[in-house]
Amino acid sequence: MVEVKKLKKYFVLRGKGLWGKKYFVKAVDDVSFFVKEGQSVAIVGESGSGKSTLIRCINGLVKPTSGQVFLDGESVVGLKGNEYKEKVAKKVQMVFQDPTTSLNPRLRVFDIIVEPVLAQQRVPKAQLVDLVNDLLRKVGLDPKLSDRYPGELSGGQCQRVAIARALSVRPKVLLLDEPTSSLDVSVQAQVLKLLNELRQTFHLTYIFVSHDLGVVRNVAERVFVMYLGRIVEIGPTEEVIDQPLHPYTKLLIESIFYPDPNVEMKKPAIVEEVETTMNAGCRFRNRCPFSTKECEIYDMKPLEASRDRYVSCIKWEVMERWSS
Amino acid sequence: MNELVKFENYSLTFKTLYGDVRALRNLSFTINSGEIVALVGETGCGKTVTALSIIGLLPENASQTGKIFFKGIEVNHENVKRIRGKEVAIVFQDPTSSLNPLYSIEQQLVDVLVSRWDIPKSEAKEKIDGLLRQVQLFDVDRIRRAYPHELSGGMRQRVMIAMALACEPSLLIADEPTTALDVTVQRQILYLIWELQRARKFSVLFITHDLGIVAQLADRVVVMYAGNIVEMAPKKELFSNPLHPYTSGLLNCALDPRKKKLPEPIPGSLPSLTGLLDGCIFRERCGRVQNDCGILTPELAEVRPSHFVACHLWREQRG
Amino acid sequence: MKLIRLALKNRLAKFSLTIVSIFALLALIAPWIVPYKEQALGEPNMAERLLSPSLRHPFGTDHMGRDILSRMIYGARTSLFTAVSVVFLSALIGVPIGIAAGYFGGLVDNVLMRFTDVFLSFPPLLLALLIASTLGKGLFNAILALVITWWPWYARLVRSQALSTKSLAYVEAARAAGVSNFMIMFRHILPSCIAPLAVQCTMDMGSAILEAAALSFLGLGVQPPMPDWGLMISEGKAYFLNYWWVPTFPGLFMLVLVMSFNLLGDVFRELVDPRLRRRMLI
Repeated sequence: MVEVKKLKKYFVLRGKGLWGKKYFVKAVDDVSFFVKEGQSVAIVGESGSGKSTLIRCINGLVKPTSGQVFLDGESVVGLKGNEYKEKVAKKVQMVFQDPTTSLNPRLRVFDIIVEPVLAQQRVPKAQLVDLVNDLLRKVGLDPKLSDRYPGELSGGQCQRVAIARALSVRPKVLLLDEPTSSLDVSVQAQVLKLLNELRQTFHLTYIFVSHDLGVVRNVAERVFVMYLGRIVEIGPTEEVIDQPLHPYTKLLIESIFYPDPNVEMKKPAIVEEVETTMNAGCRFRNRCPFSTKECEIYDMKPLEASRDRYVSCIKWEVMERWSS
Repeated sequence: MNELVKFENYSLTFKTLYGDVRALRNLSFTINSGEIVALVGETGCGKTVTALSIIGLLPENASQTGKIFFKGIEVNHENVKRIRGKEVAIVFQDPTSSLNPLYSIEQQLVDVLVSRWDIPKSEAKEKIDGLLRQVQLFDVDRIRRAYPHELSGGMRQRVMIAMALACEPSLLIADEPTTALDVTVQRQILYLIWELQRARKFSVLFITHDLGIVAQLADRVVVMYAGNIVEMAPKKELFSNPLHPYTSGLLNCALDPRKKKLPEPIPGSLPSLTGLLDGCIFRERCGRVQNDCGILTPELAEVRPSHFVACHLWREQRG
Repeated sequence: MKLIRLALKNRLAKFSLTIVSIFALLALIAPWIVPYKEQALGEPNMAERLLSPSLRHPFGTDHMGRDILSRMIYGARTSLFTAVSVVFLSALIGVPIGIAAGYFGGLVDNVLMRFTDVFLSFPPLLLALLIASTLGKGLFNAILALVITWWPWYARLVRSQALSTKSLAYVEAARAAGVSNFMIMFRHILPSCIAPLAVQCTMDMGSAILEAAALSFLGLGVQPPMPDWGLMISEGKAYFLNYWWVPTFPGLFMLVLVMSFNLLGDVFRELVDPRLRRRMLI
């Protein structure tokens, strides 16, 4: 359904001074994966991992430096205008992180929701009204809210409107960029529940971006862990969280604070900072307790660890034995 | 244990174009010396303004009633300056905007030391190495000369903590200090705060909405909702016996990565903070609401040892 | 519109808005209320020249015997017409250029901004002189000169607003929905520019009046015998010592009107800035 092949996005920056050398920030560095129709996958990573850039390459908001993106078998990189509308906008829509900036504060909810529809074709007003009312009900909002402005709604309500807008063109895939990170905890659960229901109702495919493994556990079947632009681990959600194979994934899991008062305060395993300027070899090696000389030339390609499990680490078997 | 900070029936109202916003209503609680108190609540519950009112950093349109005591003495306009930045230090959420981008780290640390201890600049400069190492910034030479934008978010926050500790405060207020940081960095920063507190025994008022952090960091927990304290208890007691319906709802909503379980959400939404309200502030969303809840405002009362709750459900058990 | 409603809650705003409205009203109905219409339009009345203020001539008469009050009311017409034209035409040119530059960025931005820079470097008065000497003197040429030097400021203002708006999530959402660039600029970027534009245009009204007056003072704008405040001051300055009322009243009126616009602009600016707005008590 959605396939990404050798995707790269490099940003060009200039070094210090008048004659600073140009250098690249490799936001996304040779990423390949695919998502089957109807699946729900999560891309997990911290800031600088490239996850947000990656999904924006999928729906064309960011133009990749190289590589390909396929939707339903068709290549969609660099499309514009009507072709973009036909092949991308109709099939993939996005829900953004911050509900307050993802809705135009000067437009009414009604106009916000119908904008994607009207961008594709002219639709008579009566039909639009029906569509909006139907969508609002489906996302758990009162249709009377269609007259309001985003400023009059709460964060959770705004996010539901954003979801309604994304669904207005009946896409097959939803890209969700940390949709609950800006919401209160009590509202998060509501929105996640809604998203799960909608996926069943509309047979959608979800690509979630998140840094919160609690959210990921509850919405995604499959997880891709990213670090500095590369995928480091792939697998079913429960397996990756309960038995992480890559040292970075282990670090992520160990850093979580569980809402359990009986767990003692643990000292963090690694204190070194992220090193972004490494260009060759495994990017994680400066923080990895298991790294050796070989890690300096390893190109971080995912290795198959078992059925449906991939790790980008040449030492994973060693660590498996070591920790078990 | 003596009382470091004490709030006594403290209320805070903001006068705005849209009416009076009652941000805090009748707050009464204590922070003892040497303990970590977590102030938990969601957006708009008033946790940040509670912290700001201890040091008097409130906007002009704020009007207060009730009292705040620091080390037994009532805090007012004149003496608040003696505790601000000296006895009480604060670390804010966003390290990027809390540090001045135009000055180097060294200059900003020196500023803090000079104004707090009234020592000459040269003497202050000597102390910087020690301060930075304390917060585990070991590359001292580079960091001293660096400007804020040259450091990562985690490093900036460590600098903020160093600045706060340079004052050798009795109370450190941390207002969601790790919300803007990555998960792995968060663990480092929180462990740092925890370790320093265990060593130096200053009190910490830790403001957060993350129950995971509360579970591991706090000694005591204060739960706030829409400007009121609804429950207050030692950490383990709160997690095992949440008495207030809001607290149990909130605990329920915390997502645990170890389990796949979507909780029952708390229905409804926050009430408006303008306008007078009799009765319990949570009644419109409460699953166990009773007749009295609409008429009588529940008071915070000790229902089990050290466990306070403001809810009519536990009226009979009040001591 | 919400801006105006909020503004009306502020006393200073009400005061300045009242003054501006009075001037506007006077300007509109001038032909019907002016006591000495013909004189206002320039017909001399040498028998009554340089009379000091009295009941018949509340502001006195000028060196041609014309009633100063009438000429001043008519002068309000010219001033306001000039100010509105200059501001409006400059915005008409500058806003689309600024939005396009800010939204598209890259080469388009570079080209448009260098083009704008060229016009920014023209000194207004010298340009006015140039135009006057080649195309002739008169009100319309003066307006032309002012517009040419005025529009770049709007382009810049709007460009910076467009730059910050285009990175907002709702613009991304529109792009992801396949909305055309033109619609995005019209529906999302342009409205976000209205607020800072409104502030700038209000304050610019005052400056436009002053610059137009300067031009006519120098003889480059409105020509005699048309009534215009700048012109009245210019013609009247010779009589200042003995007949003080001749240049003074036009100057005073101008001061009051310009100040009102500036005050109104200040109020708008405070309202538009969300940080300042929070501090505004009733």
